[in-house]
Amino acid sequence: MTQLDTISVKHLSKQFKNQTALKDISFNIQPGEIFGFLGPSGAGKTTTIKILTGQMHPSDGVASVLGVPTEKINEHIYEQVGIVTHNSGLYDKLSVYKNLEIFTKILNVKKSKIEEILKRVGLFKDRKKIAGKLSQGMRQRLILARAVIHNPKVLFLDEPTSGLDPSTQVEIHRLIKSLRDNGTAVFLTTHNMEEAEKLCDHLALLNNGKIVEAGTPREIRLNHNKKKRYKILLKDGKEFILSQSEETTQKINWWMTDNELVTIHSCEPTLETVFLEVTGRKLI
Amino acid sequence: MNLSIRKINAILQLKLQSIITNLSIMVAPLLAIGFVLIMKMSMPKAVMTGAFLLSFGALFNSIMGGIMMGSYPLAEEKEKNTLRVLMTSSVNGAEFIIGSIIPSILMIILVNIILVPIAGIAMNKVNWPIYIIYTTLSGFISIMIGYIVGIYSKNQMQAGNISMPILLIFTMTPMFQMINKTIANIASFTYSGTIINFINDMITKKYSPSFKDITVLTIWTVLSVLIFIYAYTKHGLDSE
Repeated sequence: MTQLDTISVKHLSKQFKNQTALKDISFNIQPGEIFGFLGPSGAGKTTTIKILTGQMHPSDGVASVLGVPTEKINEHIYEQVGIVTHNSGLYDKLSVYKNLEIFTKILNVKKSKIEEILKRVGLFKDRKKIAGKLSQGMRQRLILARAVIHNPKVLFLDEPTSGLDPSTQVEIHRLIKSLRDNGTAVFLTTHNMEEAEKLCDHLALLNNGKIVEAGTPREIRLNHNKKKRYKILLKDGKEFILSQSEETTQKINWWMTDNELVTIHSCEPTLETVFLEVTGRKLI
Repeated sequence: MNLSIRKINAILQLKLQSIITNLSIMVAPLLAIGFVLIMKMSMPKAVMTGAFLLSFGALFNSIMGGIMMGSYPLAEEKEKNTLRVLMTSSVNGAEFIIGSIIPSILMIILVNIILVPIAGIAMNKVNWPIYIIYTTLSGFISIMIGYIVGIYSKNQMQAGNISMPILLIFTMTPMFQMINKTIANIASFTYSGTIINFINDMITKKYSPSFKDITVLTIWTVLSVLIFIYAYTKHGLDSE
Protein backbone atom coordinates (compact mmCIF):
# COMPACT_ATOMS: atom_id res chain seq x y z
CA MET A 1 0.00 0.00 0.00
CA THR A 2 1.36 3.42 -0.91
CA GLN A 3 0.95 6.42 1.37
CA LEU A 4 -1.93 7.61 -0.80
CA ASP A 5 -3.99 4.44 -1.04
CA THR A 6 -7.36 4.61 0.70
CA ILE A 7 -8.11 1.00 -0.07
CA SER A 8 -5.47 -1.63 -0.62
CA VAL A 9 -6.27 -5.21 -1.62
CA LYS A 10 -3.61 -7.88 -2.09
CA HIS A 11 -4.23 -11.44 -3.25
CA LEU A 12 -7.67 -11.56 -1.66
CA SER A 13 -9.61 -14.82 -1.84
CA LYS A 14 -12.89 -15.98 -0.36
CA GLN A 15 -14.13 -19.53 -0.25
CA PHE A 16 -17.66 -20.56 0.80
CA LYS A 17 -17.63 -24.32 1.46
CA ASN A 18 -17.31 -25.70 -2.08
CA GLN A 19 -17.72 -22.39 -3.87
CA THR A 20 -14.95 -19.89 -4.58
CA ALA A 21 -16.32 -16.35 -4.49
CA LEU A 22 -13.04 -14.45 -4.95
CA LYS A 23 -9.78 -15.66 -6.42
CA ASP A 24 -6.55 -13.79 -5.73
CA ILE A 25 -7.77 -10.26 -6.45
CA SER A 26 -5.55 -7.21 -5.99
CA PHE A 27 -6.13 -3.49 -6.51
CA ASN A 28 -5.59 -0.10 -4.89
CA ILE A 29 -7.87 2.92 -4.66
CA GLN A 30 -6.66 6.43 -3.97
CA PRO A 31 -8.47 9.46 -2.53
CA GLY A 32 -10.59 11.28 -5.09
CA GLU A 33 -10.89 8.21 -7.29
CA ILE A 34 -13.95 6.29 -8.44
CA PHE A 35 -13.02 2.65 -8.77
CA GLY A 36 -15.55 0.47 -10.54
CA PHE A 37 -16.02 -3.23 -10.02
CA LEU A 38 -17.81 -4.38 -13.12
CA GLY A 39 -19.24 -7.84 -13.36
CA PRO A 40 -22.39 -9.89 -13.73
CA SER A 41 -24.55 -11.01 -10.78
CA GLY A 42 -22.71 -13.54 -8.66
CA ALA A 43 -19.26 -12.41 -9.82
CA GLY A 44 -18.15 -11.57 -6.26
CA LYS A 45 -18.82 -7.81 -6.15
CA THR A 46 -20.92 -7.77 -2.97
CA THR A 47 -18.58 -10.26 -1.28
CA THR A 48 -15.70 -7.84 -1.92
CA ILE A 49 -17.67 -4.96 -0.33
CA LYS A 50 -18.54 -7.11 2.68
CA ILE A 51 -14.87 -8.00 3.19
CA LEU A 52 -13.72 -4.40 2.75
CA THR A 53 -16.30 -3.12 5.23
CA GLY A 54 -15.38 -5.71 7.85
CA GLN A 55 -18.66 -7.63 7.60
CA MET A 56 -16.94 -10.76 6.34
CA HIS A 57 -13.46 -12.21 6.68
CA PRO A 58 -11.39 -13.24 3.67
CA SER A 59 -10.14 -16.81 3.34
CA ASP A 60 -6.77 -15.59 2.14
CA GLY A 61 -4.92 -12.38 1.29
CA VAL A 62 -4.90 -8.97 2.94
CA ALA A 63 -6.99 -5.85 2.54
CA SER A 64 -7.00 -2.55 4.35
CA VAL A 65 -9.27 0.49 4.37
CA LEU A 66 -7.84 3.84 5.50
CA GLY A 67 -4.79 1.94 6.71
CA VAL A 68 -6.80 -0.43 8.91
CA PRO A 69 -6.60 -4.15 8.05
CA THR A 70 -10.14 -5.33 7.34
CA GLU A 71 -10.06 -8.04 10.01
CA LYS A 72 -9.36 -5.33 12.60
CA ILE A 73 -12.18 -3.04 11.45
CA ASN A 74 -14.44 -1.95 14.30
CA GLU A 75 -17.21 0.63 14.60
CA HIS A 76 -14.77 3.57 14.65
CA ILE A 77 -13.84 3.23 10.99
CA TYR A 78 -17.49 3.62 10.00
CA GLU A 79 -17.29 7.26 11.12
CA GLN A 80 -15.19 7.79 7.97
CA VAL A 81 -16.99 5.37 5.70
CA GLY A 82 -20.31 5.50 3.86
CA ILE A 83 -22.04 2.36 2.62
CA VAL A 84 -24.94 1.98 0.18
CA THR A 85 -26.02 -1.55 -0.64
CA HIS A 86 -29.01 -2.65 -2.68
CA ASN A 87 -30.77 -3.71 0.53
CA SER A 88 -29.87 -0.76 2.77
CA GLY A 89 -33.00 -0.07 4.81
CA LEU A 90 -34.79 3.05 5.98
CA TYR A 91 -36.98 3.74 9.00
CA ASP A 92 -40.23 3.62 7.08
CA LYS A 93 -42.37 5.15 9.84
CA LEU A 94 -40.11 8.18 10.24
CA SER A 95 -39.94 11.22 7.98
CA VAL A 96 -37.18 11.81 5.45
CA TYR A 97 -35.71 14.47 7.78
CA LYS A 98 -35.88 12.24 10.88
CA ASN A 99 -34.19 9.40 9.00
CA LEU A 100 -31.18 11.65 8.50
CA GLU A 101 -31.40 13.30 11.92
CA ILE A 102 -30.71 9.97 13.68
CA PHE A 103 -27.47 9.61 11.78
CA THR A 104 -26.35 13.19 12.38
CA LYS A 105 -26.62 12.38 16.08
CA ILE A 106 -24.79 9.08 15.75
CA LEU A 107 -22.05 10.52 13.53
CA ASN A 108 -21.81 13.86 15.36
CA VAL A 109 -22.71 15.92 12.30
CA LYS A 110 -24.28 19.39 12.51
CA LYS A 111 -28.05 19.43 11.92
CA SER A 112 -27.63 22.11 9.24
CA LYS A 113 -26.04 19.40 7.08
CA ILE A 114 -29.43 17.68 6.77
CA GLU A 115 -31.01 20.49 4.75
CA GLU A 116 -27.85 20.89 2.69
CA ILE A 117 -27.71 17.22 1.71
CA LEU A 118 -31.47 17.02 1.12
CA LYS A 119 -31.15 19.91 -1.34
CA ARG A 120 -28.26 18.15 -3.08
CA VAL A 121 -30.25 14.95 -3.61
CA GLY A 122 -33.45 16.82 -4.51
CA LEU A 123 -35.46 15.71 -1.49
CA PHE A 124 -35.69 19.00 0.41
CA LYS A 125 -39.33 19.61 -0.42
CA ASP A 126 -40.13 16.03 0.60
CA ARG A 127 -38.35 16.30 3.97
CA LYS A 128 -41.58 15.88 5.95
CA LYS A 129 -42.75 12.88 3.92
CA ILE A 130 -42.82 9.49 5.65
CA ALA A 131 -39.97 7.38 4.26
CA GLY A 132 -42.29 4.42 3.72
CA LYS A 133 -44.23 6.47 1.17
CA LEU A 134 -41.25 7.40 -1.01
CA SER A 135 -40.79 6.05 -4.53
CA GLN A 136 -37.89 3.66 -5.22
CA GLY A 137 -35.82 6.47 -6.74
CA MET A 138 -36.45 8.79 -3.79
CA ARG A 139 -35.60 6.03 -1.31
CA GLN A 140 -32.32 5.40 -3.06
CA ARG A 141 -31.49 9.11 -3.00
CA LEU A 142 -32.27 9.23 0.72
CA ILE A 143 -30.08 6.18 1.37
CA LEU A 144 -27.27 7.86 -0.55
CA ALA A 145 -27.80 11.12 1.36
CA ARG A 146 -27.54 9.20 4.63
CA ALA A 147 -24.33 7.48 3.49
CA VAL A 148 -22.60 10.76 2.65
CA ILE A 149 -23.99 13.11 5.32
CA HIS A 150 -20.73 12.86 7.30
CA ASN A 151 -18.45 13.49 4.28
CA PRO A 152 -16.89 10.04 4.36
CA LYS A 153 -13.35 9.44 3.18
CA VAL A 154 -14.49 6.20 1.54
CA LEU A 155 -17.84 5.46 -0.04
CA PHE A 156 -18.93 1.93 -0.92
CA LEU A 157 -21.71 1.81 -3.46
CA ASP A 158 -23.18 -1.59 -4.30
CA GLU A 159 -25.27 -1.20 -7.47
CA PRO A 160 -26.53 2.21 -6.38
CA THR A 161 -28.62 2.91 -9.46
CA SER A 162 -29.97 -0.57 -10.08
CA GLY A 163 -33.63 -0.39 -11.09
CA LEU A 164 -33.77 3.41 -11.07
CA ASP A 165 -35.16 5.66 -13.78
CA PRO A 166 -32.63 7.50 -16.00
CA SER A 167 -33.19 10.95 -14.45
CA THR A 168 -32.58 9.62 -10.91
CA GLN A 169 -29.48 7.84 -12.22
CA VAL A 170 -28.16 11.13 -13.61
CA GLU A 171 -28.76 12.89 -10.27
CA ILE A 172 -26.99 10.12 -8.37
CA HIS A 173 -24.07 10.15 -10.82
CA ARG A 174 -23.72 13.91 -10.34
CA LEU A 175 -23.58 13.50 -6.56
CA ILE A 176 -21.02 10.69 -6.77
CA LYS A 177 -18.80 12.80 -9.03
CA SER A 178 -18.98 15.80 -6.70
CA LEU A 179 -17.96 13.57 -3.77
CA ARG A 180 -15.04 12.28 -5.82
CA ASP A 181 -14.04 15.87 -6.61
CA ASN A 182 -14.02 16.59 -2.88
CA GLY A 183 -11.53 13.79 -2.27
CA THR A 184 -13.77 10.84 -1.38
CA ALA A 185 -12.55 7.48 -2.66
CA VAL A 186 -15.51 5.68 -4.18
CA PHE A 187 -15.73 1.92 -4.59
CA LEU A 188 -18.60 1.26 -6.98
CA THR A 189 -19.96 -2.10 -8.05
CA THR A 190 -22.21 -2.27 -11.06
CA HIS A 191 -23.16 -4.47 -13.97
CA ASN A 192 -24.10 -1.39 -15.97
CA MET A 193 -21.23 -0.76 -18.37
CA GLU A 194 -22.51 2.68 -19.37
CA GLU A 195 -22.48 3.74 -15.73
CA ALA A 196 -18.98 2.34 -15.29
CA GLU A 197 -17.75 4.13 -18.39
CA LYS A 198 -19.29 7.48 -17.37
CA LEU A 199 -18.26 7.45 -13.73
CA CYS A 200 -15.16 5.40 -13.11
CA ASP A 201 -11.58 6.57 -13.18
CA HIS A 202 -10.39 2.99 -12.93
CA LEU A 203 -12.17 -0.27 -13.52
CA ALA A 204 -11.72 -3.93 -12.79
CA LEU A 205 -13.74 -6.47 -14.73
CA LEU A 206 -14.72 -9.31 -12.44
CA ASN A 207 -15.77 -12.74 -13.60
CA ASN A 208 -16.31 -15.79 -11.37
CA GLY A 209 -14.41 -14.06 -8.57
CA LYS A 210 -11.38 -13.22 -10.69
CA ILE A 211 -10.24 -9.87 -12.08
CA VAL A 212 -9.96 -10.52 -15.80
CA GLU A 213 -9.09 -6.98 -16.91
CA ALA A 214 -8.20 -3.71 -15.19
CA GLY A 215 -7.29 -0.14 -16.07
CA THR A 216 -9.05 3.08 -17.03
CA PRO A 217 -12.19 2.53 -19.12
CA ARG A 218 -10.35 3.95 -22.15
CA GLU A 219 -7.28 1.75 -21.60
CA ILE A 220 -9.43 -1.34 -21.35
CA ARG A 221 -11.32 -0.52 -24.54
CA LEU A 222 -8.20 0.45 -26.50
CA ASN A 223 -6.24 -2.59 -25.34
CA HIS A 224 -8.88 -4.73 -27.00
CA ASN A 225 -9.14 -2.61 -30.12
CA LYS A 226 -7.06 -5.09 -32.11
CA LYS A 227 -8.83 -4.72 -35.45
CA LYS A 228 -9.03 -0.97 -35.92
CA ARG A 229 -12.17 -0.12 -37.90
CA TYR A 230 -14.04 3.07 -38.79
CA LYS A 231 -17.75 3.62 -39.36
CA ILE A 232 -18.35 6.10 -42.15
CA LEU A 233 -21.49 7.88 -43.38
CA LEU A 234 -21.44 9.60 -46.75
CA LYS A 235 -23.61 12.40 -48.14
CA ASP A 236 -25.58 10.00 -50.34
CA GLY A 237 -26.59 8.01 -47.22
CA LYS A 238 -24.22 5.12 -47.80
CA GLU A 239 -22.63 3.63 -44.68
CA PHE A 240 -19.37 1.69 -44.53
CA ILE A 241 -17.34 -0.03 -41.85
CA LEU A 242 -13.75 -0.05 -43.03
CA SER A 243 -10.69 -1.69 -41.52
CA GLN A 244 -7.52 0.32 -41.09
CA SER A 245 -5.42 0.03 -44.24
CA GLU A 246 -3.67 2.19 -46.76
CA GLU A 247 -6.67 1.84 -49.05
CA THR A 248 -9.05 3.08 -46.33
CA THR A 249 -6.77 6.05 -45.69
CA GLN A 250 -6.88 6.96 -49.37
CA LYS A 251 -10.66 6.56 -49.54
CA ILE A 252 -11.23 8.76 -46.47
CA ASN A 253 -8.84 11.34 -47.88
CA TRP A 254 -10.74 11.33 -51.21
CA TRP A 255 -14.19 11.60 -49.53
CA MET A 256 -12.97 14.43 -47.35
CA THR A 257 -11.49 16.31 -50.29
CA ASP A 258 -14.77 15.95 -52.19
CA ASN A 259 -16.77 16.94 -49.10
CA GLU A 260 -18.61 13.59 -49.30
CA LEU A 261 -17.88 12.55 -45.70
CA VAL A 262 -20.71 13.29 -43.23
CA THR A 263 -19.57 11.31 -40.14
CA ILE A 264 -16.64 9.12 -39.14
CA HIS A 265 -16.36 7.09 -35.95
CA SER A 266 -13.73 4.72 -34.66
CA CYS A 267 -15.15 1.29 -33.75
CA GLU A 268 -13.25 0.42 -30.59
CA PRO A 269 -15.06 -2.18 -28.50
CA THR A 270 -17.42 -1.24 -25.64
CA LEU A 271 -16.71 -2.52 -22.16
CA GLU A 272 -19.50 -5.03 -22.68
CA THR A 273 -17.82 -6.35 -25.84
CA VAL A 274 -14.51 -6.56 -24.01
CA PHE A 275 -16.16 -8.46 -21.18
CA LEU A 276 -17.77 -10.84 -23.64
CA GLU A 277 -14.45 -11.31 -25.43
CA VAL A 278 -12.51 -11.97 -22.24
CA THR A 279 -15.02 -14.17 -20.43
CA GLY A 280 -17.33 -15.49 -23.09
CA ARG A 281 -20.35 -14.31 -21.08
CA LYS A 282 -22.57 -11.23 -20.96
CA LEU A 283 -22.58 -8.69 -18.15
CA ILE A 284 -26.16 -9.22 -16.96
CA MET B 1 -15.77 -2.14 23.68
CA ASN B 2 -16.17 1.63 24.01
CA LEU B 3 -19.50 3.22 24.82
CA SER B 4 -20.54 6.60 23.44
CA ILE B 5 -23.23 8.46 25.39
CA ARG B 6 -24.05 10.43 22.22
CA LYS B 7 -24.73 7.27 20.22
CA ILE B 8 -26.68 5.62 23.07
CA ASN B 9 -28.81 8.76 23.28
CA ALA B 10 -29.44 8.70 19.52
CA ILE B 11 -30.54 5.05 19.66
CA LEU B 12 -32.67 5.79 22.74
CA GLN B 13 -34.55 8.55 20.91
CA LEU B 14 -34.95 6.35 17.84
CA LYS B 15 -36.30 3.45 19.91
CA LEU B 16 -38.67 5.66 21.87
CA GLN B 17 -40.23 6.80 18.60
CA SER B 18 -40.31 3.22 17.29
CA ILE B 19 -42.03 1.90 20.43
CA ILE B 20 -44.64 4.65 20.43
CA THR B 21 -45.41 4.26 16.71
CA ASN B 22 -45.39 0.45 16.69
CA LEU B 23 -48.81 -0.81 17.78
CA SER B 24 -47.63 -4.41 17.97
CA ILE B 25 -45.22 -3.38 20.75
CA MET B 26 -47.63 -1.02 22.53
CA VAL B 27 -50.35 -3.67 22.52
CA ALA B 28 -49.06 -5.36 25.70
CA PRO B 29 -48.98 -2.30 27.99
CA LEU B 30 -52.27 -1.07 26.54
CA LEU B 31 -53.89 -4.50 26.95
CA ALA B 32 -52.56 -4.74 30.51
CA ILE B 33 -54.34 -1.50 31.41
CA GLY B 34 -57.42 -2.38 29.34
CA PHE B 35 -57.87 -5.90 30.73
CA VAL B 36 -57.47 -4.77 34.33
CA LEU B 37 -60.07 -2.05 33.75
CA ILE B 38 -62.51 -4.40 32.01
CA MET B 39 -62.11 -7.19 34.58
CA LYS B 40 -62.50 -4.74 37.44
CA MET B 41 -65.69 -3.28 36.00
CA SER B 42 -67.30 -6.46 34.70
CA MET B 43 -66.49 -9.12 37.30
CA PRO B 44 -67.61 -9.37 40.94
CA LYS B 45 -65.19 -7.91 43.47
CA ALA B 46 -65.05 -11.19 45.37
CA VAL B 47 -63.48 -12.89 42.34
CA MET B 48 -61.43 -10.01 40.97
CA THR B 49 -59.49 -8.97 44.03
CA GLY B 50 -57.07 -6.05 43.80
CA ALA B 51 -54.17 -8.45 44.26
CA PHE B 52 -55.32 -10.63 41.37
CA LEU B 53 -55.93 -7.64 39.10
CA LEU B 54 -52.56 -6.06 39.86
CA SER B 55 -50.59 -9.30 39.50
CA PHE B 56 -52.38 -10.05 36.23
CA GLY B 57 -51.74 -6.52 34.88
CA ALA B 58 -48.14 -6.37 36.07
CA LEU B 59 -47.39 -9.78 34.55
CA PHE B 60 -49.06 -8.88 31.29
CA ASN B 61 -47.12 -5.63 31.10
CA SER B 62 -43.74 -6.81 32.37
CA ILE B 63 -43.63 -10.21 30.69
CA MET B 64 -45.66 -9.91 27.51
CA GLY B 65 -44.58 -6.27 27.07
CA GLY B 66 -40.95 -7.01 27.90
CA ILE B 67 -40.62 -9.96 25.54
CA MET B 68 -42.37 -8.07 22.74
CA MET B 69 -40.34 -4.90 23.32
CA GLY B 70 -37.18 -6.97 23.11
CA SER B 71 -37.95 -9.30 20.22
CA TYR B 72 -40.14 -7.31 17.83
CA PRO B 73 -38.01 -4.17 17.34
CA LEU B 74 -34.84 -6.24 16.91
CA ALA B 75 -36.56 -8.54 14.40
CA GLU B 76 -38.05 -5.49 12.64
CA GLU B 77 -34.61 -3.87 12.35
CA LYS B 78 -33.30 -7.08 10.78
CA GLU B 79 -36.32 -7.48 8.51
CA LYS B 80 -36.08 -3.91 7.21
CA ASN B 81 -32.26 -4.03 6.94
CA THR B 82 -31.82 -1.06 9.26
CA LEU B 83 -29.85 -2.86 11.96
CA ARG B 84 -26.95 -3.44 9.56
CA VAL B 85 -27.12 0.23 8.58
CA LEU B 86 -26.78 1.23 12.25
CA MET B 87 -23.95 -1.23 12.82
CA THR B 88 -22.08 0.12 9.81
CA SER B 89 -22.68 3.69 10.98
CA SER B 90 -20.36 3.31 13.97
CA VAL B 91 -22.91 2.06 16.52
CA ASN B 92 -21.71 -1.04 18.38
CA GLY B 93 -23.84 -3.83 19.81
CA ALA B 94 -23.62 -2.63 23.41
CA GLU B 95 -24.66 0.93 22.47
CA PHE B 96 -27.59 -0.47 20.50
CA ILE B 97 -28.74 -2.71 23.37
CA ILE B 98 -28.39 -0.03 26.06
CA GLY B 99 -30.12 2.60 23.90
CA SER B 100 -32.91 0.15 23.11
CA ILE B 101 -33.47 -1.20 26.61
CA ILE B 102 -33.88 2.14 28.42
CA PRO B 103 -37.15 3.30 26.78
CA SER B 104 -38.61 -0.22 27.11
CA ILE B 105 -37.78 -0.38 30.82
CA LEU B 106 -39.16 3.13 31.40
CA MET B 107 -42.39 2.18 29.63
CA ILE B 108 -42.74 -0.97 31.75
CA ILE B 109 -42.13 0.97 35.00
CA LEU B 110 -44.62 3.68 34.05
CA VAL B 111 -47.40 1.23 33.20
CA ASN B 112 -46.74 -0.85 36.33
CA ILE B 113 -47.20 2.31 38.43
CA ILE B 114 -50.40 3.28 36.58
CA LEU B 115 -51.79 -0.24 37.13
CA VAL B 116 -51.87 0.19 40.94
CA PRO B 117 -54.75 2.75 41.06
CA ILE B 118 -56.44 1.11 38.08
CA ALA B 119 -56.51 -2.21 39.99
CA GLY B 120 -58.22 -0.30 42.83
CA ILE B 121 -55.35 -0.65 45.29
CA ALA B 122 -54.65 2.12 47.74
CA MET B 123 -51.28 3.74 47.12
CA ASN B 124 -50.22 3.28 50.77
CA LYS B 125 -50.85 -0.47 50.53
CA VAL B 126 -48.00 -0.84 48.06
CA ASN B 127 -44.43 -1.51 49.11
CA TRP B 128 -43.18 0.78 46.35
CA PRO B 129 -39.43 0.14 46.42
CA ILE B 130 -39.87 -3.63 46.25
CA TYR B 131 -42.78 -3.40 43.79
CA ILE B 132 -40.70 -1.25 41.43
CA ILE B 133 -37.55 -3.37 41.83
CA TYR B 134 -39.33 -6.74 41.37
CA THR B 135 -41.52 -5.72 38.45
CA THR B 136 -38.67 -3.86 36.73
CA LEU B 137 -36.40 -6.88 37.16
CA SER B 138 -39.06 -9.13 35.67
CA GLY B 139 -39.41 -6.63 32.80
CA PHE B 140 -35.64 -6.69 32.32
CA ILE B 141 -35.55 -10.52 32.29
CA SER B 142 -38.39 -10.51 29.74
CA ILE B 143 -36.59 -7.98 27.53
CA MET B 144 -33.47 -10.17 27.64
CA ILE B 145 -35.59 -13.19 26.63
CA GLY B 146 -37.03 -10.97 23.88
CA TYR B 147 -33.54 -10.07 22.63
CA ILE B 148 -32.55 -13.75 22.58
CA VAL B 149 -35.67 -14.46 20.49
CA GLY B 150 -34.82 -11.45 18.29
CA ILE B 151 -31.28 -12.73 17.68
CA TYR B 152 -32.63 -16.05 16.41
CA SER B 153 -35.45 -14.48 14.33
CA LYS B 154 -35.16 -13.18 10.81
CA ASN B 155 -38.37 -11.17 10.85
CA GLN B 156 -41.22 -10.04 13.05
CA MET B 157 -43.43 -12.99 12.16
CA GLN B 158 -40.77 -15.45 13.23
CA ALA B 159 -40.19 -13.44 16.41
CA GLY B 160 -43.92 -13.63 17.13
CA ASN B 161 -44.02 -17.38 16.52
CA ILE B 162 -41.06 -18.07 18.80
CA SER B 163 -42.02 -15.69 21.59
CA MET B 164 -45.73 -16.56 21.76
CA PRO B 165 -45.40 -19.87 23.68
CA ILE B 166 -42.77 -18.37 26.01
CA LEU B 167 -44.83 -15.33 26.92
CA LEU B 168 -48.00 -17.42 27.28
CA ILE B 169 -46.32 -19.74 29.80
CA PHE B 170 -45.06 -16.88 31.95
CA THR B 171 -48.11 -14.64 31.62
CA MET B 172 -50.52 -17.45 32.43
CA THR B 173 -48.62 -18.49 35.57
CA PRO B 174 -51.44 -17.28 37.87
CA MET B 175 -53.92 -19.52 36.04
CA PHE B 176 -51.59 -22.52 36.25
CA GLN B 177 -51.01 -21.90 39.94
CA MET B 178 -54.71 -22.38 40.56
CA ILE B 179 -54.67 -25.88 39.03
CA ASN B 180 -52.84 -27.67 41.82
CA LYS B 181 -50.20 -27.27 44.50
CA THR B 182 -47.40 -28.99 42.56
CA ILE B 183 -47.75 -26.58 39.66
CA ALA B 184 -47.98 -23.67 42.12
CA ASN B 185 -44.79 -24.89 43.76
CA ILE B 186 -42.99 -25.16 40.41
CA ALA B 187 -44.34 -21.74 39.38
CA SER B 188 -42.88 -20.18 42.51
CA PHE B 189 -39.45 -20.87 41.05
CA THR B 190 -40.22 -18.80 37.97
CA TYR B 191 -39.75 -15.03 37.96
CA SER B 192 -43.43 -14.53 37.12
CA GLY B 193 -44.46 -16.77 40.02
CA THR B 194 -42.30 -14.69 42.35
CA ILE B 195 -44.07 -11.51 41.23
CA ILE B 196 -47.51 -13.05 41.82
CA ASN B 197 -46.63 -14.29 45.28
CA PHE B 198 -45.07 -10.96 46.16
CA ILE B 199 -48.11 -8.92 45.04
CA ASN B 200 -50.48 -11.29 46.82
CA ASP B 201 -48.53 -11.12 50.06
CA MET B 202 -48.05 -7.35 49.77
CA ILE B 203 -51.79 -6.71 49.44
CA THR B 204 -53.16 -9.35 51.78
CA LYS B 205 -50.51 -9.24 54.51
CA LYS B 206 -47.17 -7.57 55.08
CA TYR B 207 -44.47 -8.69 52.65
CA SER B 208 -40.83 -8.92 53.57
CA PRO B 209 -38.35 -10.05 50.93
CA SER B 210 -37.56 -13.73 51.32
CA PHE B 211 -34.28 -15.44 50.50
CA LYS B 212 -36.10 -17.64 48.00
CA ASP B 213 -37.69 -14.71 46.10
CA ILE B 214 -34.41 -12.80 45.88
CA THR B 215 -32.52 -15.93 44.80
CA VAL B 216 -35.11 -16.84 42.15
CA LEU B 217 -35.10 -13.34 40.67
CA THR B 218 -31.29 -13.12 40.77
CA ILE B 219 -30.86 -16.51 39.09
CA TRP B 220 -33.35 -15.61 36.35
CA THR B 221 -31.65 -12.26 35.79
CA VAL B 222 -28.16 -13.76 35.62
CA LEU B 223 -29.32 -16.67 33.44
CA SER B 224 -31.14 -14.44 30.96
CA VAL B 225 -28.12 -12.12 30.67
CA LEU B 226 -25.72 -15.06 30.24
CA ILE B 227 -27.87 -16.70 27.56
CA PHE B 228 -28.21 -13.36 25.81
CA ILE B 229 -24.41 -12.83 25.90
CA TYR B 230 -23.89 -16.36 24.56
CA ALA B 231 -26.38 -15.81 21.71
CA TYR B 232 -24.92 -12.38 20.95
CA THR B 233 -21.33 -13.62 20.99
CA LYS B 234 -22.20 -16.60 18.79
CA HIS B 235 -24.50 -14.93 16.29
CA GLY B 236 -24.17 -11.18 16.77
CA LEU B 237 -27.30 -9.06 16.61
CA ASP B 238 -27.49 -9.31 12.86
CA SER B 239 -26.23 -12.69 11.75
CA GLU B 240 -26.86 -13.81 8.16
